[in-house]
Amino acid sequence: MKNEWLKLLVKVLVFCVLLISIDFGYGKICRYMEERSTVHNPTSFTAEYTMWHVNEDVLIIGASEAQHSYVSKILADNLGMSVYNCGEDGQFFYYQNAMVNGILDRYCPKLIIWSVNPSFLSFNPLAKERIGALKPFADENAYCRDMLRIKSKYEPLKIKSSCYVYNSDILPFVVSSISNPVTDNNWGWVPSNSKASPPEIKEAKYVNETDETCLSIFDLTLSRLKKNNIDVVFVFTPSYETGVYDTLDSYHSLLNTTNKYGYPIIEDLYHHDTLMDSTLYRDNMHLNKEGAVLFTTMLTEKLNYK
Amino acid sequence: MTFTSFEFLLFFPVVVLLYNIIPQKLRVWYLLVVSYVFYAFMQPVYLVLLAAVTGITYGFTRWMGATDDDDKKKRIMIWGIILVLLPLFFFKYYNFVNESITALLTAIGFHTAIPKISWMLPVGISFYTFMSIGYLVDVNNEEVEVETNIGSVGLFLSFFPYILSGPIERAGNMFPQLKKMPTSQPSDLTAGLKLMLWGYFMKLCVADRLGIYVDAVFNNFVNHNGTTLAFATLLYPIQVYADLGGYSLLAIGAARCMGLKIIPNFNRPFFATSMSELWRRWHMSFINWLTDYIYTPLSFALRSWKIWGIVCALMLTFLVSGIWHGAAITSIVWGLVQGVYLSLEALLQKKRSSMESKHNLNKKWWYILICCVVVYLLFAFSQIFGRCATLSDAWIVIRKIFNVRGSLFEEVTTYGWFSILILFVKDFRDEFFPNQFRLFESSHIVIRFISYAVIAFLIVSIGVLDGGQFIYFQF
Amino acid sequence: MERELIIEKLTSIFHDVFGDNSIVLRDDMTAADVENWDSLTHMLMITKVEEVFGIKFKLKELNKLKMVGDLITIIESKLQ
Repeated sequence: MKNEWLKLLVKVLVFCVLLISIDFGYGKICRYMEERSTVHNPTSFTAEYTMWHVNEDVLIIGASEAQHSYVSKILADNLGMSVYNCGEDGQFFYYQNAMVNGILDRYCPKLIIWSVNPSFLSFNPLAKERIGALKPFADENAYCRDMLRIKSKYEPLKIKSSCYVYNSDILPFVVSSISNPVTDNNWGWVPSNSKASPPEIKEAKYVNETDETCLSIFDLTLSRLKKNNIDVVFVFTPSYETGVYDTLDSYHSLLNTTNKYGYPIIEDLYHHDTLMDSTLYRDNMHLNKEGAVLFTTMLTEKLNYK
Repeated sequence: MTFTSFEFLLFFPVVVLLYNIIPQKLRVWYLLVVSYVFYAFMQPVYLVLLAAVTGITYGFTRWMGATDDDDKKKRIMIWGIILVLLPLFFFKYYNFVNESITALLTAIGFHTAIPKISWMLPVGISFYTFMSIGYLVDVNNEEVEVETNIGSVGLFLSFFPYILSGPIERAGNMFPQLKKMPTSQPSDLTAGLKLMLWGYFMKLCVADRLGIYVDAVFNNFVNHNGTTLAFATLLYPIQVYADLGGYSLLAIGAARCMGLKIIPNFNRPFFATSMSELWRRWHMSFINWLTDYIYTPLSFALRSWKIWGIVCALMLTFLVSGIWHGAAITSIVWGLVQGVYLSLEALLQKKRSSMESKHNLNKKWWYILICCVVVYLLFAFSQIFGRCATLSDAWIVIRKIFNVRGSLFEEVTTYGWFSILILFVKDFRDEFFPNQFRLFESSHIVIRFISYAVIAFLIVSIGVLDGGQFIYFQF
Repeated sequence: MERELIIEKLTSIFHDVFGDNSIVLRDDMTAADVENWDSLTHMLMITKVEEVFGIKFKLKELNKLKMVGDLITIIESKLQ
């Protein structure tokens, strides 16, 4: 009987060694292809491109509303500086702070235009779930490692596995690596060419409470930006919604923190009369191509004025 | 903590190790504590309910055991069943019944304000309630002996591998094993871990991957055309099979690691050539429970009505099945549709049999294929009612499927298709070539190891690891 | 009634209910051995048995039937 157990133990150990080897090899392959893919196709690998490659003077930070609404070229032409739109679909508070801090580890842009909303500092379960997008950077970036702990206390253990870190990434890497390089003429902006019918107006959903963890992370990030003399402008990106937010606790936390560091929030384009036109929107949360052009033009006037 | 959470991967090996170290006499109590701790990770408050149902089950079965009078025994059983059903009624069905009665009364002019209950549904309540009822009936029918050890009864109802989502176990299968509480053998660990490996693959690579797409379509059905809705409808049964089937394998595998054998729950359902065969392969523990405790007594009582007695028994049994699945009209309709399918099959059984033997159809591969496809389509159609939140949503989906064409929105992803293919190939091999192309069961250790490693690699590299709730959870 | 006669009548019932004239009864035969013998047709068979032999089963007795031999035995005991 002891013999049987010993045999099983040996088999288990051999199997573990096999798994670890496969995991290690897979990690090496994925990392190589990740680097290649990022250079071949930046807009498909926005996180990697933002973390490792962007070096423009002006960066736009935000989620999908930023990605679709801020036309880099219009901003570049008007500001006379290079611009890159680092907006990423479905990536919210934690990701955005990680990207800003990751960028600051490499260089200091002149201006950051940060797309936010009145409930930016409240708890968003999706934001927490998607911290996983920072896994590939945890090895080299302590800030990302700390962020991952917010997702789950077991993340530091889980990310020891390359298969876990690169979960579901292999196919996009392979496709991009073997395709021809794609030139991004829009510098990160992804125009929305949707043919969907204009949305109907709806009530915005805000969250009142401030999340204290978000607040402290945000404060640290702004403090670091200030220390590095980087200008930051926060913008409430337009949405086709109505709603009153000036009584929200989370809004006041946002206002207080940005004021503390002397960073303005441009609010008046949020539900601006000119922009409250359903034909400018792909859906309630995102401007379409025409809307983006109009909005960015209006924004540049405000930035120039400032 | 669920089987697919990281904590479980840390919790489980420790549990198995300690199980084997602890003296055999204490293992029942040990596993009972472990099961209660497992449950407490999710809903500590409802442990009280679980303990109460355990107490009632134990007390009433002991009372039955001490009674010689058959009629009195039956009365005790009935009262036991009523008491055990009360929590299930209040937590799961009270609001539905309340709303239905209110709607009915309002329609005839009476306005009432019976308050709603907004308590969370205790996890696993449908499962342990059914196991308790099964045990009460088995004691009344003298199918099993009364268990005098309250720890065993407690463990039977709360055993952590199956409490969340089945299989629905039987006293006759579990109590003899709980008396022995065997030490794990190497073969148990190997067999158990293999089952769990495949279970994780089914759940994380197939079910959760499909779920992302199916949810995206059904949660936004108003904006999708009939082509997309039809496609998602066709994929949904695979999702449910992989989800519940995968989870069942995890439960069976986990118990097997401790030398305990739990009844199987799925047997390659999509190779069924008739609806009745599908229901002998799909959620087997549940259908066997229904057969033994609802269908058989009903069909026995109605047997003088011959085939119509069977039809009535089937309709009522599947009405119960629908109600068990959900406190909503859609669940009831789902159940009734299954009943209709099976009733029609029962009524046409003789004609079908004679046609098949006349033309020797059962040996023809194309006939088997056509039957499998038809059965799958019928089942997929019925699942629209299982998936939609309301009856009107279901009707909209059905109307769109038949009327609204358009371009297909397909986002299953290559990973999803690849995983479905692996699952299909494995099930196909198990069904038609059970002794050939063996990988997990190969006599060559290298082939076995590579197979385990490939599946483990696929689970971690393409499985949906972040999120993915198990559908049968709040049952 | 003699056991052979019971088996003969039971065979005829099986042929009729399960639609297979080739069935030959054995004591250790179970539902798994006969195509079309499932929970649906089982009750039809039991009803036919009650009709043909003029007996009545109790549900408890049915639950204890594991194979054809048990069925023959219980029919015998009810006919005595």
